[in-house]
Amino acid sequence: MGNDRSIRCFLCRCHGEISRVIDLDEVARALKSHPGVRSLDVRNSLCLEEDMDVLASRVEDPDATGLVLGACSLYARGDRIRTALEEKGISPDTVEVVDIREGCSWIHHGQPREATTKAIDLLRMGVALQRHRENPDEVMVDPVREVFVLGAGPAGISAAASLVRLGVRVHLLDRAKSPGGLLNLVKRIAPEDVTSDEYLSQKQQTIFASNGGVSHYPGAKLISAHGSAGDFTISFSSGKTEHAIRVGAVIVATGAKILMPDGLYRHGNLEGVLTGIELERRFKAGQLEGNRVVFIQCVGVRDRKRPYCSAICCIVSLKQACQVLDVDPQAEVFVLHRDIMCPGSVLEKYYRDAMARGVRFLRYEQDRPPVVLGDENVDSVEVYDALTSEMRRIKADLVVLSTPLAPHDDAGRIAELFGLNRDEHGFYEVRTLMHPLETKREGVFVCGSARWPVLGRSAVLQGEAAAMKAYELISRGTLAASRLSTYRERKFSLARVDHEACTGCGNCVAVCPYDACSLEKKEGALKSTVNLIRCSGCGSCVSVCPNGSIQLPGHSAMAIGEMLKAVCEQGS
Amino acid sequence: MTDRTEDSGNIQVVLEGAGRKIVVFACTWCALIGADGAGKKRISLPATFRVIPVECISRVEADAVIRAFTSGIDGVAVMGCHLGGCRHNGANLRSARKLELLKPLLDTVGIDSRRLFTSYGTAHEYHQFAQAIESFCSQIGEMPPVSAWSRSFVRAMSARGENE
Repeated sequence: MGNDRSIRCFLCRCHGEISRVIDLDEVARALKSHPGVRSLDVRNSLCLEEDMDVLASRVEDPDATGLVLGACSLYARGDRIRTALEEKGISPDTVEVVDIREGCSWIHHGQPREATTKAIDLLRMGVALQRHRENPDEVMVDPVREVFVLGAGPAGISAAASLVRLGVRVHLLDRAKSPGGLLNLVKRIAPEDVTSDEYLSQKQQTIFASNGGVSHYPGAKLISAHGSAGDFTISFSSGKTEHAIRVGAVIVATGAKILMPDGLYRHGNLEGVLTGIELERRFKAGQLEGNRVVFIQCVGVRDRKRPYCSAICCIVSLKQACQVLDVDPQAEVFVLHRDIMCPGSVLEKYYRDAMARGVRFLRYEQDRPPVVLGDENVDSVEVYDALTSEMRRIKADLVVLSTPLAPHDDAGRIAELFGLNRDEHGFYEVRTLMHPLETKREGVFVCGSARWPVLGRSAVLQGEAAAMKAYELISRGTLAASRLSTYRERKFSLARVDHEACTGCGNCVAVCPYDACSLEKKEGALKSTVNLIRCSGCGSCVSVCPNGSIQLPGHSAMAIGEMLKAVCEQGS
Repeated sequence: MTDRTEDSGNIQVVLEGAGRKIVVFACTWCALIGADGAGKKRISLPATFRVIPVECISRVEADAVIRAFTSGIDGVAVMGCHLGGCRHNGANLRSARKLELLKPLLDTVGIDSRRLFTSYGTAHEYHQFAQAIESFCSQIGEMPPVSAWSRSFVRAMSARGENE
């Protein structure tokens, strides 16, 4: 196999950075006689326009010529050379940049002879790879300029409002009857101290004044989701009608549920033991009885079963503590905590303000939790104060349990529908490091508390960020599949199946980390098929294929074999 | 199991490790960036290793490792992202398991399994890359080359597999 491109080599002196260590004359001699190499030039700096023009002028027929450049690493200038050559009409698939500076002359400066031998090997490997590099498969995708937003909480509403302002049609689906998500349960929102209506009114106005730019489906239920980035088909039922829509990107903003304490601290058995959200209900109804209130933090969280910090409960309790003081300035408010988490300038001020207003903080230890005392009503709370090492008994009319946010019960079903991973706690998983909204599935973005418990302000921020991500995907017109994702910075080689050789064993289907491989019936037999939009070119499938029928055209087993041979050619 | 060179009757005294060749499969997301970092810092390294960049180490099949040994290479290093930090949804975890399974098989055909080296690190850990390469190269340098018997045995075995 392989292509019959004739190879033109160019070596870069890099103004001495390479040639000072590596004997380029010797490299040139060794390579000129190498089979397949048609010409070889040594230049001063391949990355400068002047040399680049010479380089391009030597390529008469871009399809029949392969370039092997001995220069610096891909991360230094190598990738930029390839991009610049692409602008001159030379496909990156025909250009091999062999790193002989960072990877050779700079790390072997004390051993010029060995470095020269190594440079010859590396360039021969480059020639071998280029001669066996086949053009990758490519599909063009014309993304549908519509976006599906699942969940109409602060994150979903912000995403929808941002997108509709950009002229994108949005389908906003929510299982609740009215938008707002968890914010609807709350009287005032921390730390902004506004009501939920005030909080979201501007964005809601944008949505509902958009003249049909946003189709809002309240009380709807998701049925199925198919397709891949650029073209998803989603069906759901709203009322008695079933809808099926086509969208280019999906934003999952399903939020989280409030965990109930499950009998902890005698909740449900003793009058006066409430959860935070039950207290909100009393605030809303304006019926707060009793002026001695004890908050207990970290209820059912930061333990072995849920070893995460829900990040919002401290702020919520501080807000509620201050609200109790608003109702009755003489109230006695205690917050029993394990740590107070109020990061950043705004939230730290919130904490200091609560302290200044007389909220008292008391630290307890995880293995000696507070005990709620009382027969019919709450009487007091007994707690071991970790800082003074004393048992304390605090008189109380109300005990408020600060429970965390936890993943929705149907998060598993939604993850399955969209092909998302979930982390150890059950929240949707995002890509590692620099891709905080992108998921395993291209074109599906996660924001808000579905990803991790966040305050309203962070949910809004993430919703708007997810909207931008979705817009980036759908706004650029027709794209090659390998350029579809913002996640892929470089052009990849996508997997290709030889259908004659494929036995349909399904190994590739089992290992593909992107669900790109599937078995389909072709001429009576099951054959592996690759969804090129989902494929990211990692090559997992290649290494488990029993007979090599699935390959990365740009980096085939044949090419690697030839590269290995090239390493051993010299001195054996 | 020890390796013995049975190529030729006459024993050559050569510089320790000279002529040994080592191939490094480095993933372009972490190990290759680490290699690049080591280059930028101009850390002096032994010149016996050759890097083959791969998109992800999950691309490196057992066959590629075996083929390296049969074509005359004395050490193979597979270097990828931290386990749990793979850019391809944990594909490197599966690869790590596969390579561990390969090691005893290498031992059975007379190729010391220490000749297959795996390491997982992040992109900015150039010092880790340099240190791993340095120790692996010196380890391979202290070992004799893979015996010609092992090379031809494995070659014959894999040729038989292809003919069947």
